[in-house]
Amino acid sequence: MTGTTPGTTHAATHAATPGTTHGTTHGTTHAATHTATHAATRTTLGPCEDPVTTEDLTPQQAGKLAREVLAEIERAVVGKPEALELVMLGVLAGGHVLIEDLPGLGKTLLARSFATTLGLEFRRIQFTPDLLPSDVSGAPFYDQRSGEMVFRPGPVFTNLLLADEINRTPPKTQAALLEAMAEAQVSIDGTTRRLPDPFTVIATANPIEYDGTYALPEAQLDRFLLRVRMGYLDAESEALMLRARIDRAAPEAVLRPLADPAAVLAMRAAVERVEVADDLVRYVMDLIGATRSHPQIQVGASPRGGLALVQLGRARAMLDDRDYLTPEDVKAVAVPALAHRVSLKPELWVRQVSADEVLTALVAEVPTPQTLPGVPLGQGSTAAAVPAS
Amino acid sequence: MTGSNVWTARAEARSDAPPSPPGAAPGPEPAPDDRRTLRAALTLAAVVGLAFAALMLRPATGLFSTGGAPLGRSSGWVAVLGIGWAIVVGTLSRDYRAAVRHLSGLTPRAERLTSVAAWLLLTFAVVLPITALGIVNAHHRSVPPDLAVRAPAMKLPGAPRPPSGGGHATTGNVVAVVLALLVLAFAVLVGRLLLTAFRGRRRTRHPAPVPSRVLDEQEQLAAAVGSGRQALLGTDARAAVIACYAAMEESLAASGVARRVADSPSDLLARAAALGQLPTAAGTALTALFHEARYSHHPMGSPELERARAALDTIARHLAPAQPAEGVC
Repeated sequence: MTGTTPGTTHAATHAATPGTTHGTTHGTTHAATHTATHAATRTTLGPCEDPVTTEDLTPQQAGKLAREVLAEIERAVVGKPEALELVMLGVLAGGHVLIEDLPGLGKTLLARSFATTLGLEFRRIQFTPDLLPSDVSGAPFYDQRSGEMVFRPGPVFTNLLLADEINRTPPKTQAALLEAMAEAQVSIDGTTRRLPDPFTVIATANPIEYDGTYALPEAQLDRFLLRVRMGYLDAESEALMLRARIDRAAPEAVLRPLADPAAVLAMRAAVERVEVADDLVRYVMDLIGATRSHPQIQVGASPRGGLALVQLGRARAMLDDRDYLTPEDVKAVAVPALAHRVSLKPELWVRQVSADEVLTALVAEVPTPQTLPGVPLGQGSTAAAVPAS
Repeated sequence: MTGSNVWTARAEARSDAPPSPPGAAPGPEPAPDDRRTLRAALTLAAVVGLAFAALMLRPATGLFSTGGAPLGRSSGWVAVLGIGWAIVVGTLSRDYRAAVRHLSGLTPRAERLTSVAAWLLLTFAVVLPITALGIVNAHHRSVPPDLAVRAPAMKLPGAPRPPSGGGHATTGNVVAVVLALLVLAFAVLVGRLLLTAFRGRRRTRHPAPVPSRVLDEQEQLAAAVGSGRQALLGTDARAAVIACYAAMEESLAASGVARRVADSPSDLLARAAALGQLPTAAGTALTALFHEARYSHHPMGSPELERARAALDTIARHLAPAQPAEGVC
C-alpha cells in the first residue's frame, strides 16, 4: 500500500453525501485489517516466547515491549531511530505527535508502521482546503429505511489517526480535530461521543510551504505533546534504504503486530509508575521558567509544556529500562517537547533562527541538578538530604 | 551514613588539596595558529605604526615632553580617533567575551581574571575616548580665542619657543597615556600568546614537564579517590555511591574535565571519554549506579557498593598511572 491513492475524491463531493465513504479519508486500511482479529480481548503479547500479560506491566516489561515494537518498525522505516523513538515516546506518554518536515521523508509510512505494529485501528485524513469539520468528526444523516437521523462516525473515531498536512485546511476544520485531541470526545447535535481509547493523532505539516496553507496557531500547537523533525537520511542510510527496497521486491516491508490497544493502555499505565525525584521537578520548572525569561523568546512554554516534559521524560526512562527519571531524560526530550510551544521574537524570524536552536542553547545553559542531593522541594533548608533507602 | 557524611567527605578532599589552576591564563581556547599569528602581526603593525606616527607628528619634542601636536587642538580629530578606538576595542571586547563564554574548567582565580579583563576592555573602549574629548574641549575653553589665533603669528624663526600652557601639557599627557595603554595592551597580548603557546606545547608532551604542577594534580586526584573509597566503607550504600561518583567528578576536574553547570552525568561522561580521560565501561557503570542512587528509591546494598568500588579503582588507575592504587586510602 502506498497510503496515498485509495481515496481521491475531495471533500466537497463527499460533504454533500455524508452517507458515502469519505473521499479523503482512507477508512480502515489494511493496518487495521491486521489488527481487527486481535483487538481488545487479547491478553498476551510478544512474538512467541515469554508472554506478558497486559493487565499490569512493570516499567521494565513495558519498556521491553516498546523496544520490540521499535525494532520491528525500524525494519520498515530505515535510518530514523531518533524520530521513531520520539514518536514512540509520544504514544507511550498518551499524547499527540506533530511531524513537521518536507514531503517524501516517510512521515506517512512512519505513522502507518506504528499503527500496524502496535495493533491499533488506523485511519488517515488528507487535509484539504475544502475539508469540513463534519468530514473529520462525523455527521448525522437521514436513514430512509428507519426514517431517523443516524450518526455516522467520522474518521476521528479510531485509535491512531494520521492527519496528513494538517496546515492545508482552514482553522475551522483544524479546530474540530484539535478539540477531539484535547477532550478525546466529539460533541455533535448536543450528544457527546467518546473516542476510542487509546486515541492518538499523528499529524504532519509542511514547514516551508506558505501558499494555500493555514499555519496552526500557538494555542493549537500546544495541544501536541511533541514535535518531531525527521530530516534527510545520511548517504549511507539512504543507500541502505534503497538496497533494502530492491532486495525486498515489494513497496514496503510487511510488519507484524506486536501489541494491541489494551497493551498500549497498559504501557501508558506503566509510564505512571516511573518515579520522579524532587530535584528533577525543580529542573523541569527551571527549564520552563527559562523559556519565559529568555531574551529571544516572546511567549514561553505553558504549564502544559512542563507536564509534557515530565511525561515524555518518564516514557524515555521506561524505554531505557529504568523506572526512575534522570536529567538525561529531561534534556533529551526538552527540545521536541517545548520548541513548538514558544514564540520567538520577530527579529529572530528575519535572522532565520529557529525555536529548536534557541531551545537547544537554553537547555545547554540551565543548570542540571547538582551531584549531591539538595534541599527538598519547597523548603529553604540548607541541610543535605540523601534519598531514603 | 547520611548526606552530611557525603559533604564531610567532599570537604575533606577539598581541604587536603586546594585546587590548583589547570590553566591560569584567562582567555579563549587556542584559535588556529595561522589566524593567531595574523592577528598578532596586525596588532604589532598597528602599535608600531601609531607610535611612529606619534613621533613623526611631534618632531621638535621628546616622546613624553609637553608641547603642541599638529592635531592637538582639533577636537574633531580627537573625536574621530576616539570613535575609532571605541570601535576597535569594543570589537575586541566582544570577541573576547564570546571566546571566554563557553570556557570551562577554569579555577576561581582564572574566572575572576577573565571577568575583570572583560570589564576592563569594555571600560577602556568607552571611558578613554570620552576622557580625551573632555580634556581637549576643556583646554579649548580655557585658552582665550584671540590668544589662540595670534599665537602662531608671534612665533619667529629661531626665537625661543614660548612656554606651553597647561592645555598643551594636558594634551601631551593624554597622548602619553594612550601610548602607554597601547604598549600595555601589546605587552598583554604578547604575554597571552606566549602563555598559550607554552600551554599548547605542554599539552602535547606526554611526560609531565613541570613536576610541581603535576604533583598538585596527583595529590588532588589521590585525595578525591581516597575520599570516595572512604565513603564506600560506610554503611549507607546510597550515600556511599553518590560520594563515590562525586569523587570521580573531582578526579575528572583535577584532570581538566570539570563538570559544567548544565551537564548531566552522561554529558560529563561523554566529554571525559572523548578526551580519553575516563575508561568508558567503568565510567558508565559508576554513572548508572549514581543515577540509581540519586534519583530512585531502590534499595541498594553491598553488590552496588562492590561495583562502585571496582569502577572507582579502574578510574583511579586510568587517571593516574604513576600513582600507586593502594596508597591513597
